[in-house]
Amino acid sequence: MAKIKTVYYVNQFFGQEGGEEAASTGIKVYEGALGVAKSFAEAYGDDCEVLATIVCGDNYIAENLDEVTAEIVELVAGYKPDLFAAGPAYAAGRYGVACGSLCQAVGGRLGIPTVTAMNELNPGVALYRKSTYIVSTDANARKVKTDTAKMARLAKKLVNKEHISSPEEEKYFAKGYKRNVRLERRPAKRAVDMLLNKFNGREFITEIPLPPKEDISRPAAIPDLSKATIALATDGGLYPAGNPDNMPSANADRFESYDISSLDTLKEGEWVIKHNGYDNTFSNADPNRLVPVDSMRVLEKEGYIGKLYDEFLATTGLICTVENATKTGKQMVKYIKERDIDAVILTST
Amino acid sequence: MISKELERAGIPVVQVANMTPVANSVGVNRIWTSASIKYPLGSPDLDPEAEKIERIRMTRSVLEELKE
Repeated sequence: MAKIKTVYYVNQFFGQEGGEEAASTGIKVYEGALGVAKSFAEAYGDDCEVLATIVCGDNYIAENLDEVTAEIVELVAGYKPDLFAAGPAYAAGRYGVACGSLCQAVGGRLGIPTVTAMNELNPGVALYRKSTYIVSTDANARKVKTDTAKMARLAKKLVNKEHISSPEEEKYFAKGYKRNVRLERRPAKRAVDMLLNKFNGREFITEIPLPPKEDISRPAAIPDLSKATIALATDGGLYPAGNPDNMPSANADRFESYDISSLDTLKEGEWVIKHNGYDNTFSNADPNRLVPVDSMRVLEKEGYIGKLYDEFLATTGLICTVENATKTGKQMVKYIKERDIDAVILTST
Repeated sequence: MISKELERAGIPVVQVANMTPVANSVGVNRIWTSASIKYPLGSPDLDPEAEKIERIRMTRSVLEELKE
């Protein structure tokens, strides 16, 4: 039986170069399996042959991720492997990002299965979970053998093109695909059962997990609004009639800003909603229902707020991926920070 | 998710939304529950004058969130 040719990637620490002081070590290639690569190969079985273990310092790759990734992919390609594995990176951010980046690039270039492993705290998970299989591990390297064995088991299934079960069963991070499954009980029954379990304090498993909650501290309060400049923003997709900026009707990854400095109200017909996710009739009939320019203007004249900012920000949030919403959010942050804006009212539909 | 990015950058923001469990689960600090998904700050069953008065009241209530 032909052996499964494997190339393995580890950082300076697992490559026995040293700790943080060796993090700038450049790329080194060892023939055969080194360290965790050996445990991986043993767990996989006799039919796995690690042709090379590639070692690279975390800083060396993190500081030049694209270039170093490309360089290592070239090296990997030279071996014409059947499988590429990297890590486990546990909660080590630079290492996790390196493993994810390499798995994504190797998989994309060579079309072979790639596997890595890390902890949910590792930023590599959010960045690369869609591009490669990332086995879930603890935050620290206490169970290296178990973790490499989990990687090996999943890798073997991928190589043999066996059915991969759910992320929960196989212990990897969901890649974001929806797979149709046939269940005994209809959705209505499942939903009511879930609700009853929740109501009665029993355990229940959601079918639509939301992104993990992150504790972000509350931005400072504005006790005196009469001196504050407030900007309006919406993800309800309100744009000037004709949609001059060609904003999408779903999943936008950007926003646009529109001048309202001379307006006391948003008139019907001059502003039109481009959003396929809700009944637009009411807010098209009176756009102030979505972006309350008329009431803000009154409150500005009253002196209740200092100023309504001269432009409002608009994007379309429908079926928006977390990545795109985050991207749009970061662009808004930049816009706001560069201007004299104290706070934002963001209306959602 | 947009509000979360603003808050992460320290920018005070009130998220006016109807599906508050979503905003809540994301961890947004200042949430104001809107009138409807279809018209967050509207009251289409009122006549236009009354609706505007009601919207001023609602907008004021949204802005109050910033004071805390």
